[in-house]
Amino acid sequence: MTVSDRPKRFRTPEDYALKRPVHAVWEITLSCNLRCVHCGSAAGEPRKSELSTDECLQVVESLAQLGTREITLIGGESYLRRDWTDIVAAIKRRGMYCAIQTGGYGLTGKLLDRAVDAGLDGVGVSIDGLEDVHDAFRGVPGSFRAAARAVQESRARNLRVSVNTTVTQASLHKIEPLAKQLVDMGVTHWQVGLMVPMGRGTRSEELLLQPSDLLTLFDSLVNVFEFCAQNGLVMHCGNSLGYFGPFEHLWRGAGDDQVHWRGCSAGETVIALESDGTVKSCPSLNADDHGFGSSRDAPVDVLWKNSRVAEAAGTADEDTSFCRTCYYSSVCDGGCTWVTDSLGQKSKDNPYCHYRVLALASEGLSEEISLVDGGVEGPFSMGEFSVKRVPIEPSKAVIAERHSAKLKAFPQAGAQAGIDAGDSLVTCKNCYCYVYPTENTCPHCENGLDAAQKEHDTLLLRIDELMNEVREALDT
Amino acid sequence: MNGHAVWYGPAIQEAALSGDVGKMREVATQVEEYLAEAGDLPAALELLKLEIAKLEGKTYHREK
Repeated sequence: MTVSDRPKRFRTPEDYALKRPVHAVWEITLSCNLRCVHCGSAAGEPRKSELSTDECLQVVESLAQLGTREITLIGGESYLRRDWTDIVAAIKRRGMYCAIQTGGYGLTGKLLDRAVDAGLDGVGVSIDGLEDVHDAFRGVPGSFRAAARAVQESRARNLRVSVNTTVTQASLHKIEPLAKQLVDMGVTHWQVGLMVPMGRGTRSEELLLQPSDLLTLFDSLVNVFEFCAQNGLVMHCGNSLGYFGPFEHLWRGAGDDQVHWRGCSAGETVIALESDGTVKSCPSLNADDHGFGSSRDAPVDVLWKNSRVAEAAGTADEDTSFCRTCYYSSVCDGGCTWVTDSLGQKSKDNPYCHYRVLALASEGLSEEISLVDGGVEGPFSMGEFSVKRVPIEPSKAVIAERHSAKLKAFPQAGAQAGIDAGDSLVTCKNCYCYVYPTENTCPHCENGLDAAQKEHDTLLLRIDELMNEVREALDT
Repeated sequence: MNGHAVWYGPAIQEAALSGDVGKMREVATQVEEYLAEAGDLPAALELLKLEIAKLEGKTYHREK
């Protein structure tokens, strides 16, 4: 893959050094024709004072000046704004990749034709389960068929098409049939994430996964990943799913183990806007805690350059939570801020972590999350949750044992104190957990890293040699 | 994949399967194509299937 054909969203060392907002996710209206039960922004009605067309075009200009390479328009539903294709056209004039993320309800061929004329590059459609699950989740009968039609109509216009799926208790055991359906629909890119309790989602506690459900989910996703790989569907895990453990190497980099979770990018190389001009560090985060100001008060590039990312409460010295004392703490930093914020974990202690679930399971424990107070529902509102440790269910313990069959230990931070992970951790080719590049022995499976790498390389070389033999034999 | 992604918003729509898994899949697909075409199977083809299965077992971290 060369630099020119690398996805626009991929970040380079220069992007980090310059703190360049490579990817912008922009809510251009809060107006929505669906009533999704998980919606963090509780979308439905437009905001009281949404940006005018001219103000939007100025935002596009500012983002271009900041070096943004990809803009995703979201809502609500972006196409419920009359001028949405004017915004698309302005983004394309400035040479940026432009996609929309949509529920697809009412996204007709006619609307898509206008968008294609304006230069739209891609359409991301949200499909959260098979038809019954999806329609119940999206709150409108017929929404699954509308989403499927949006995929079909977009593909017919040669747009790049992806699907996002939010996993809940309703879909947890139905991910494999969903993958088959997406393959049948001709989808090529699929991102799977967790339902996070924010906004309207604080009212649907029964749909939330418990941390130990990650065992069931990841067990299924390993099979799904292989099925997808065999059928031309690239599956990724979104930011809310992770982190490390024995499967991280598969889905963060579409099979490239050099790509792994590297901490939340909110406000570092990603930027978000609300439809009234509020600029913030991530589309899913609350602007009260993560906002930089309004594009009506200052140009977005000025707000961005003056911004500071909110730091987690607590420091490594005084905070003894799992995430702060974990082996991966310096790289992971507690995973997705949206998840930890929504659970009220201000010190970024994240129970939704596969590695953490496995570590606790090795002690016979799991964590249980309960809603204490749903608060007042509104855009990006948050509830109050409790997290307590309980004995792990026997059926989950069996899965955990299988996932950690090769692991002998769950080391803590400390041995790595002062080690800068730099660009990448490396995988142990025995247990496939990530380790710091300075390690000689894998602290998880206790195998020699060099020996495991050599064995892996030998296997790859053997495959290459055999492939050549086969080619020669068939050519003669 | 030569770069660090931002798994944020919609799925990356331009990425292809990459790394060892991508290579393994590519080889496996070619093996299937050769199998469909070749009447008399070269022994190397059978061996190749075995070696790929071994690598899949390691990479996907489960018994094959």
